[in-house]
Amino acid sequence: MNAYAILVGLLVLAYAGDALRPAGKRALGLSSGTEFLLVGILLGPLGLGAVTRAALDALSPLTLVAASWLALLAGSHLGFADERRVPRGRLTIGFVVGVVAFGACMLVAFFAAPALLPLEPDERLYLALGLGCAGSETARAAMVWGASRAQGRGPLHEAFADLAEADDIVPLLGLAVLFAVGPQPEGAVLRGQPLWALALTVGLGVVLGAITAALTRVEARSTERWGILLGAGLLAIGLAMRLGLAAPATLFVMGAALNLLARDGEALRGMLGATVRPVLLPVVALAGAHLDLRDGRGLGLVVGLVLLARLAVKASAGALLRRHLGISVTPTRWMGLGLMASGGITICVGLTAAARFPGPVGRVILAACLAAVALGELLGTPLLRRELRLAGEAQGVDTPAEARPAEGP
Amino acid sequence: MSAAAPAKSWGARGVQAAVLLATVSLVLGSKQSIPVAPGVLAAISALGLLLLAGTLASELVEVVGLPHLSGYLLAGILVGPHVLNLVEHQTVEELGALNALALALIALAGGAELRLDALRKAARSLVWAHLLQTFLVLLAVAGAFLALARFIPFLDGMAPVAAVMVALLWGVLATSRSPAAVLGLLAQIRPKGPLTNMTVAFVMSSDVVVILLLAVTLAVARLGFDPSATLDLSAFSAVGHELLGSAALGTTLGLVLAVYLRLSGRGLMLVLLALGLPMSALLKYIHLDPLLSFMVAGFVVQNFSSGGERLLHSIEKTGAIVFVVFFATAGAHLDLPLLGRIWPIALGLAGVRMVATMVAARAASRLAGDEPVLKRWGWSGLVSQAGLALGLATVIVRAFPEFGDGFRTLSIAVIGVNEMIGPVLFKLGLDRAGESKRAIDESGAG
Repeated sequence: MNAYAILVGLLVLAYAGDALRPAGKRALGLSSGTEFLLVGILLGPLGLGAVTRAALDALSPLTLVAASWLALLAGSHLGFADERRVPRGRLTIGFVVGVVAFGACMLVAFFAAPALLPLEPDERLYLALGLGCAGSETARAAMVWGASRAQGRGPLHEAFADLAEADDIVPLLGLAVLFAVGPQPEGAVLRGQPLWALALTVGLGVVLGAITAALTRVEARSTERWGILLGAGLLAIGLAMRLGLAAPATLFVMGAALNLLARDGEALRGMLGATVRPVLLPVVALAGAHLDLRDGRGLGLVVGLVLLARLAVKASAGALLRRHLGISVTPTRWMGLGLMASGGITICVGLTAAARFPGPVGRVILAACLAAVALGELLGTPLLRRELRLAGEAQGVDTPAEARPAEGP
Repeated sequence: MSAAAPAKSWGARGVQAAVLLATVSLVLGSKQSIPVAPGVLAAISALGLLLLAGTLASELVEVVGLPHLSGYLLAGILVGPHVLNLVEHQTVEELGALNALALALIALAGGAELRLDALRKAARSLVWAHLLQTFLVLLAVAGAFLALARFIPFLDGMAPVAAVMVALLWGVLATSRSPAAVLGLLAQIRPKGPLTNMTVAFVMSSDVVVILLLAVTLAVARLGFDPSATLDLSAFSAVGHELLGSAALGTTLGLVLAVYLRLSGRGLMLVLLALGLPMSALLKYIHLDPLLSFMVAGFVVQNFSSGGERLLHSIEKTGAIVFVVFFATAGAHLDLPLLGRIWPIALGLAGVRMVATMVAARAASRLAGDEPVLKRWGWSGLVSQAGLALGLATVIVRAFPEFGDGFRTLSIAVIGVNEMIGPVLFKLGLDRAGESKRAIDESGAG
């Protein structure tokens, strides 16, 4: 199948993503879109081979644009859950849990990976950083979707959503560091200057976010606003990629700056939010098609250890923090496992890292990201529903789509 | 594009100008420090820059009363290969696939703007307009071309009969119009009235007339260059295949869209993209005319289903992006050094075409008994030329490589002139005819 046919196929998937949440009807699909991941694996080189590696490589820039767009959406939503400002305390807790999960996954990978995979000396650090990113996100959208299908509404549900909202910054900042310390081609301007690279990743995002905010302040027409958002977004992606920076991190910062500086952030978040599923689901399918398991048992073991570390951090954090959420109900000691959901940002990290590090480092990071998403779907969503049910916030009945809260990545 | 917003303050214009300057400086700085080879990466940056710069320039030219399309073109010229070179020539070429998609959406909207009842009412006017706009403009421009022959280098040493044939081909090129420019302007200012209706109907249907005319002229021109040749009727068969095939495929696509709109209509833009991308490629591959096919599809949806307005609305929502991409890329394509070299001839030929268009429009309106506004301003929307004219020039160059390079050079220069002044004239015409939003507002206020 050539790249052109795949592109059309992706548009069909985007359509499917949009159609899976028809207005006024019951929603279809899994909270993280894992079924699209399976479709990708099935059609990709690991499955039927209908989509070849060459075709995936041809589509790679487009894939990175879509993945970076997801990061922009996350940035533009930072600190908000369903248009409600997330309390600072919960933001801090969520951020700290994300950092601890990042650190734990990174350390496990740093010490275990050399024994299990044939890595070059420098690759050990790259792999550890990438696996730290793979293990640190909590997907708010997956959680909110999963909870809302069980009619989850109440203080515990809000607490879960708030905690999940805070940690997107961790994997994306990690990705920025990974790209900054990663190898740069001979003669590249930022070669050997990781601090400058990191500063530029953030600076470029701030500048383009400020530019977009300034323009949307003086432009109220929605289609002109789309031109501005799309133009600035593509420009940021192009410039970041040209400089060898992590484009998703730049776009995340751009979204956050836009969120902070725009006069009518709510309207802009609404506009951007409408693109989540049409962009997310094709990206998820592409990620599935990109999966490459040629590193065999070593890959499996490293990924397994990293996921165990993530599980341990989430479980411990939940047990420690459950009495400090400031709500009337006290969740069980297993509440942390309800925070296992991974989604768009994890997949974005996996795809970006796989494109930047074409060897075992990229393959293992992508595999870990996809495994985290699948595990989140298998473990996180049922346990989240259980917590909500025990707290009396869920009836176990599916909710009509119009009652579902707005999504963010 | 969205409905017109209230006029912006000078402060807002200042912000836009400052941001345009900052954006261009940012890209200029990054390009100077990190040169990047043309490719998908460069195309992504270029697309972002064209979108942003085009949107901003279109707002800034509003201050002096120019249409948004002029802003898109100026932005393309500014960042294109001949001024700042922030978007390189090869990158502009690589954006071609996106341009094809933009043109498909523009043609679809154009077809959907054609309403059968309006066409019936205007049938007499359209027939006269096509007759005079085709033959009078063709003959006048071909005559001017011959009169200027001694200033046109590629005619040096050419036999008189052959020179007449080249002039006729040039005349055919002059009869082509720009549906994209007309629709782009309509999307910006949403005019209403007889001038708007007549211009849309004429420009969209002129595509068919020009294709037929070119086929006939190419067949005759071959005789002029090679006296031993016979009239090749296979050319007409190919044109018949192209027109009927395009119309048939367009009808099928229109019916599919109509059924879809009736059944669901959800996510229409994604459906249009998913259909438009492969259809554009397929039509090009099997030598059918994408412009005609998509126009027919839009026409079918508008006139044989209840989904026409929904289709139009859906395409309009993408207007700011589609037209920016199309015209900013066209601006970046504009070969300024070339225009600088042969501007007197280009300007002369463009001027003759404009005058001939004006005279033909007035004569046709008089014969058809049109209302005064059409007699006065009916020509204003017919000056623009863009992608379609360039496509015709390519067909001519391919058929006659013996004078191809020179012909291509001159045609690019003249089309460039028409591309820049055409939208300005049409906007002026709509304002003066009282059909633009601004004119309606002013008369309402008064």
